[in-house]
Amino acid sequence: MDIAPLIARTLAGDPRAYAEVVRTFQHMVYTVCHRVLRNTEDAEEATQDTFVKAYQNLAGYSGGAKFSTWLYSIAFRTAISHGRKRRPDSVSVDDLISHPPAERQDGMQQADIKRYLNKALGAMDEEDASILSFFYLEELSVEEIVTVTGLTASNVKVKLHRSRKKLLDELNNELKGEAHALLLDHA
Amino acid sequence: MPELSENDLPKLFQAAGHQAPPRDLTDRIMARVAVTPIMRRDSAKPLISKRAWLLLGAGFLALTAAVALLPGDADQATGPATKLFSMLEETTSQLRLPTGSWPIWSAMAVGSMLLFTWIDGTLMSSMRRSAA
Repeated sequence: MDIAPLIARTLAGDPRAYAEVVRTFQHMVYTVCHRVLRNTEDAEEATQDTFVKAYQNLAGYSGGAKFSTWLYSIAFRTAISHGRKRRPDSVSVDDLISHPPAERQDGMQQADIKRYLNKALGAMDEEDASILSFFYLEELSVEEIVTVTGLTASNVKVKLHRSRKKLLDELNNELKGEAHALLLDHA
Repeated sequence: MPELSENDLPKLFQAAGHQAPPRDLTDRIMARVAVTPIMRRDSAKPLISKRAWLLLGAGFLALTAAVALLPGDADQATGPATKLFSMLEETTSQLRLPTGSWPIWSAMAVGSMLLFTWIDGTLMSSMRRSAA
């Protein structure tokens, strides 16, 4: 989707254009915030703040980087900032608790995959989980992850290597023999 | 049954997909956006660019170095630089300039410009930080 016309229309004062931008990217931004904050309420608030900040600074978006990368960068920093402000006892672990998998009829459902993955990512450091998500879900390159997180390229590569291994250990430990069935059923 | 490997991770993430935000999230965001102004970058542009300040500073430095290092006796020197500076000296002698040493005045001017450039840059970056 070409985002440039929507940005131009937003800057010209058309709010419907920005609503379209929000609808296009809200899933991605919400996922980034949720990956860092692991709490629905905080993730919603951080998502709202991200889009408001992006709107305020839209005139400063030069088009040098992809719009999504620019937006992820705001989302990631906003979520990290929310996480620092949050009281330590306010973390909800609802999304991290392991629920029994749904009864298998047509194989493993998307919800089950999401639950297992969230649980495994929840056992990891927020930054590591976010980097894995940027790499595998949003399919960002290492250079783009550098732009989003502000880490160095070598740091991103080391974190990717270590967190990938840790995620696989967590998943294989959780799923035991069902690991491959999970993916084969879904394919 | 084989375990998951690195090659399975892209498929796993794609299969899990994104987290679903609440349905009214767009409306809530747009309600906040409606009362938020867009910051226009050009409204906060410095009057004199950083490059212009640096060029001015470099010019003053060159002038200072020339005045300090080149021979001051125009009768004994015939080079183009000497002629240029003797002309400059004639011109400046007709100006009502503050008394004192030229190199010191130039160094103070360069120092002031560098100070103002630094203040300008600091103010701009703090404005950007507060906006973000």
